[in-house]
Amino acid sequence: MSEETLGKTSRREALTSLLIALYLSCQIAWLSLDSPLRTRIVEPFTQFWLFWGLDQNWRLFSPEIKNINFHTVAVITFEDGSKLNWELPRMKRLNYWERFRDEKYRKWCVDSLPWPDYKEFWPDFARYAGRKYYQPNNKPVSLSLLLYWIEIPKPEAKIVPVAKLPEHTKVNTVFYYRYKASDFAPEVIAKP
Amino acid sequence: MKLSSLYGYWRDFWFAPEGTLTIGIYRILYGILILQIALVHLNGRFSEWYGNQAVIPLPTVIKHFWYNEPRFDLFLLFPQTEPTFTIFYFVLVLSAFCLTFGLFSNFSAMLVWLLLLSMHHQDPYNINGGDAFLRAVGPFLALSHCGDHFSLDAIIDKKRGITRPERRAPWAQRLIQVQLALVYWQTFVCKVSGGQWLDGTAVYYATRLDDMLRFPLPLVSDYRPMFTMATWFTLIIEFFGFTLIFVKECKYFVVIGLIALHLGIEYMINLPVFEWAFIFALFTFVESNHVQILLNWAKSALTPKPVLHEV
Repeated sequence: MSEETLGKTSRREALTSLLIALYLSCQIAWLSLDSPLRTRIVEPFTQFWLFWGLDQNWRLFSPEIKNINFHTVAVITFEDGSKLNWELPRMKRLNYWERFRDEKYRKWCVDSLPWPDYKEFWPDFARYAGRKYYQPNNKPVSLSLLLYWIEIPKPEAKIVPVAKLPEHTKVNTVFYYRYKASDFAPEVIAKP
Repeated sequence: MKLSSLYGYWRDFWFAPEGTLTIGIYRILYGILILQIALVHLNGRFSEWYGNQAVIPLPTVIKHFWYNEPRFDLFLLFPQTEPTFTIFYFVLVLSAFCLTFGLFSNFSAMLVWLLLLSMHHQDPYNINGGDAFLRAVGPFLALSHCGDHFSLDAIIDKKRGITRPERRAPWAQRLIQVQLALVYWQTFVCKVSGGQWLDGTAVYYATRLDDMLRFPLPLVSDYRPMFTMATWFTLIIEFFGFTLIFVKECKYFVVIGLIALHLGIEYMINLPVFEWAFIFALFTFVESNHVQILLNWAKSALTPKPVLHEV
């Protein structure tokens, strides 16, 4: 069938076929559900896959969708005891254009920052916030990252319209950071 | 069925020559999305995410995301200074323009992919699934015949008297299609393993995530029969997205269903780049001869018709 339209398989076509088959086999294994077999299969090529950014994950909105709404607030305390509340870009309070433009902030502040999977990055975030609100005469002393949240009402009892969703009234302290002198060393602060 | 006929199907799918109009249009659409990322989402904020002033500095990313293993990152080839990152930003914008207009199409596509890859490795915490999908299909676009039509490359070739074949082996375009199918496959498998998708409440929850709300659609989000149907429609159409989409007689119905799904999400949920990355990729399923028919129709509709005057 194919030989009539395509002719005999060329060396180039054979090589392309081989590479396609290899790539798809690896990608299908990579995307498969976690299991000891999957781990054994992907182990030999994991390094290569990660190096070239071929790793993928399409689990958005699955297997379960978050059943809470939340936002994060950083509270910076200064030497004189005053506090500054920095509400990280909160999509609900932005207009349509700002929400569209600030997607990367949403991804960072909402999907990444407050969760334990990203705890290694919390000190860097604290230092970033400290630099952002640095005052030479009244230096930041500490930062607390607060998570305000509320459950989405379950649909089984009563369907709450989207327009009447409850405010985020519960609060947790995600982490606390005490600034060090080195965080505000002249070479750090001098950066634009 | 014989093994040889299986091999025949394989060859037909990947190598039977096809027109290149579709991939030419996809190149433009892909380029527009890259321009959107660069000019809307990163413009004026590039240094917040990448470079010395970034929220998350590179040493932390290397330690906790790269696990101190090597990753491809073009930025590392140059001094980690402010001008380097400014230049990189402008290279991204320039290469996205070149890709959109089809100047050095394949090289531009490859450069865009390598820049996306470097950016995603430098800061993996600000990208959504749309960005990840553009990165996933980038190399396939770069290996395709994306500059054969609607491009400055084609105009330059024409002026030089170089003719490009009308039909070519479409394996790179097919890889984009298969990549899209893999997305629907994984998301479907993950969804059916969760309770909300099976009990019909997933759309109820998805439309109540207040950091993602765009325009309200109470008819869908606030009425049980509607959000239940929308939930199950999502599952069914995503299942077709990696099965029936490869059956010639069904594929346009599946493509229309998936576009409807993505447009519905786009209306209600604010996820810039994400939905359009998939809608544009669905366009690669449109056959070139059908694109040609559409173009002819558009051309005749736009051409002024001669008016006959009675004497």
